Amino acid sequence: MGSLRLTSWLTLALLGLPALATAAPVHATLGNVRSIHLPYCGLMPSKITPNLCVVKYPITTTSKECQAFFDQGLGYFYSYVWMEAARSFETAVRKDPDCPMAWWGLNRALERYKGNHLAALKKAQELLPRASHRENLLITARLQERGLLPGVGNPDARKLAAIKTLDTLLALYDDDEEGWYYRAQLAGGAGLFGGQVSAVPFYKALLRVNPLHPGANHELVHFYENFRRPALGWPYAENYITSSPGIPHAFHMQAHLATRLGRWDKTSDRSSRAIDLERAYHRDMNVKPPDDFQYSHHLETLMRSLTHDGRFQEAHELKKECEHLNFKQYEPWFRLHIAERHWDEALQIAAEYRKKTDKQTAAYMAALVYLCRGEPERAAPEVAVLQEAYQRGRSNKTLENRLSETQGLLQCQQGQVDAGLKLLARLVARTKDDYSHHAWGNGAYYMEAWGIAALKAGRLDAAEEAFLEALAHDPGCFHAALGLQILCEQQARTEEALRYAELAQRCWRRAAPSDVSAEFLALQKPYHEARRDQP
Amino acid sequence: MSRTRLLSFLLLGLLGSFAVRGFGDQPCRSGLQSGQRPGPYSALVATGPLRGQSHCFICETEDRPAVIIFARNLSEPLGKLAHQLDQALTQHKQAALRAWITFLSNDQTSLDPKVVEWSKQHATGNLPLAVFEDLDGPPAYRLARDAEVTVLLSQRQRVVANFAFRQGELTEERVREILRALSTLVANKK
Repeated sequence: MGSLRLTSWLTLALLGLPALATAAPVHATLGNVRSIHLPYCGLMPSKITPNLCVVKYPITTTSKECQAFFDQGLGYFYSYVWMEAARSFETAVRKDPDCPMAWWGLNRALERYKGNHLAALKKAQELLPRASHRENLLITARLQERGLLPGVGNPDARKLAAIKTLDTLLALYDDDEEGWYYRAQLAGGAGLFGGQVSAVPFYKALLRVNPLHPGANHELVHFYENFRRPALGWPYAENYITSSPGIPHAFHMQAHLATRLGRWDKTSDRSSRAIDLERAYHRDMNVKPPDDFQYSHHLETLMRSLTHDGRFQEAHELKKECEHLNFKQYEPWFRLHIAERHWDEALQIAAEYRKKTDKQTAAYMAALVYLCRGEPERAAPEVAVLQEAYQRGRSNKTLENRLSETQGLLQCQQGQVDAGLKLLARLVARTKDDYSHHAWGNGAYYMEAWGIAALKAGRLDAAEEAFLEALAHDPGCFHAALGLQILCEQQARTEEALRYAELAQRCWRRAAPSDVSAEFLALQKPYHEARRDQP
Repeated sequence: MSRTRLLSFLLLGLLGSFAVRGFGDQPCRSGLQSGQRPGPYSALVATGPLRGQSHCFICETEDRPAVIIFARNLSEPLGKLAHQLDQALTQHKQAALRAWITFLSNDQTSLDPKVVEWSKQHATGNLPLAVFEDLDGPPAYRLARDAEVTVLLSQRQRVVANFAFRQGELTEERVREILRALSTLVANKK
């Protein structure tokens, strides 16, 4: 044995890592500096974060630390934080290398993260004699599902065998939370993100045992969003947060439903909390933000929400952070710059797309900027680019929508108001029942555009129809409320005007007063006056 | 108690009774009036096949006859009206009658299970019940804060009758009145 290898062995012995000596994982390169890392996940050991998650599942171990890291691993696992789940479970393994359930947890986490998950499962198999009866059934089901038991057959047969084992477990121990969760996974939840409807009864059974089970609550939030009934997911979103007060993703998840329900105050506040928790986590665990795969998505959600609520200053701070981290979220940034009337910054983003050779997006963005500025002459060539592209690819729905929007607005500004509004109304009719288009509060976007164009063109009936539609699709739609306020004032409908003014105020209650005034003035100004103001 | 004080009490009592009578004499006014157009609004559906969805019943009603109800509480008298409407929906299927109740609440999540339970109690299997998340209701409808229940009958996208009730005013007689107006509405449709 060389001296280097001997030193490594000694180091391992000192670190108290007997498990490493027996395991043969991919990362266990004992002869190099990485030996201080956990061998399966390749990460530094975890540490206990207080108040992370309420989930507890007592396992057969005499080590309190092993139990604590196992529970922490479950908390992370149920929030899709695979890296931390793997790190926690492997730290649990380190605390009690003979604990079969710690290896079982590590197998599940590594399968989602990276690393030799089957080696961890084999280790759990070796330790089966040490497992309790319930644990034995859980591990056996896993071994059957993964084909590690002899004679279980093809994947379908393996799954059926695992289901039978879990049904036995639940028949004997109907309070077994892990049994119910695993059963839900096998019933159609294995793909995560809510899975299929067949998984739902099992998640609900689990919630009868433990109403604050993070996994069941998280999955049901996704499920009800995908099932197009976001209101039914709301109680689960609330319970998910209660179950996982230290996990950012729990706070983020509510936004999936809140943006569809128009509950924007919750979206912004909870998304901000998610970001605060995530920053603390990066500091505490020395994690680089780009290594946290959820962070960029959480930032983007907050950016959209802040923009929607007119909180431009905060959105700008967020953009700076994204730029610093090299998270390029051009589309939400573009929406921010349009909303705050920072035309040059919006045009810079269009230029970025041009550089990336996405000429269609660049033309769409540039057209929108010019149209917002009331410069139809400059918008026209950009719209022509979209028209030309559409001639070549009529099946491209995104392009079709972009063309309808910009062409409709352009026609309104060029004096062809009837044609322009007709185009925008058709665009709304085409997209209003498109559930995927409505994600992240996008449902009222085209309705707003239609309403604003109609209002500025003096077509109050069309404007009212468009804005009412917008509010029906997004009860927190500031521009619709403001547009209706202006429209009612113009028609001396005082009481309604006041009610819409109150609503608009509520929608943008945290916006800067100067931004509210700017919107009011812009919406009030008819197209012909806006053109007169051009230099 | 001195005589002056006693007189003051009596005077206050008299004034109070006048005030109550005066208030009671003025009918509750709430919501769109005859001839006005009920605009689109969405509410979160609590019962029926659309449960859990945000839905615009007005949008799907188009020119059909409709009974549009806004309510602030799950009361017993409203339950009786709801039950009768539920039956009317089956009875007037040919007239393509539409009806639904929109409850106004700032807390849909808490109200939802109560609405479901109330629906069972009053056997309103066909009548959709929904929650609008604003106590003021859709602004265009101009619902009064003191109106416990507002009932609008509409046809061809215009309101043809309006009934509004403060707390305790929705009596069996008033329910019958609404149902008589509904019969006229669907008769006109035929």
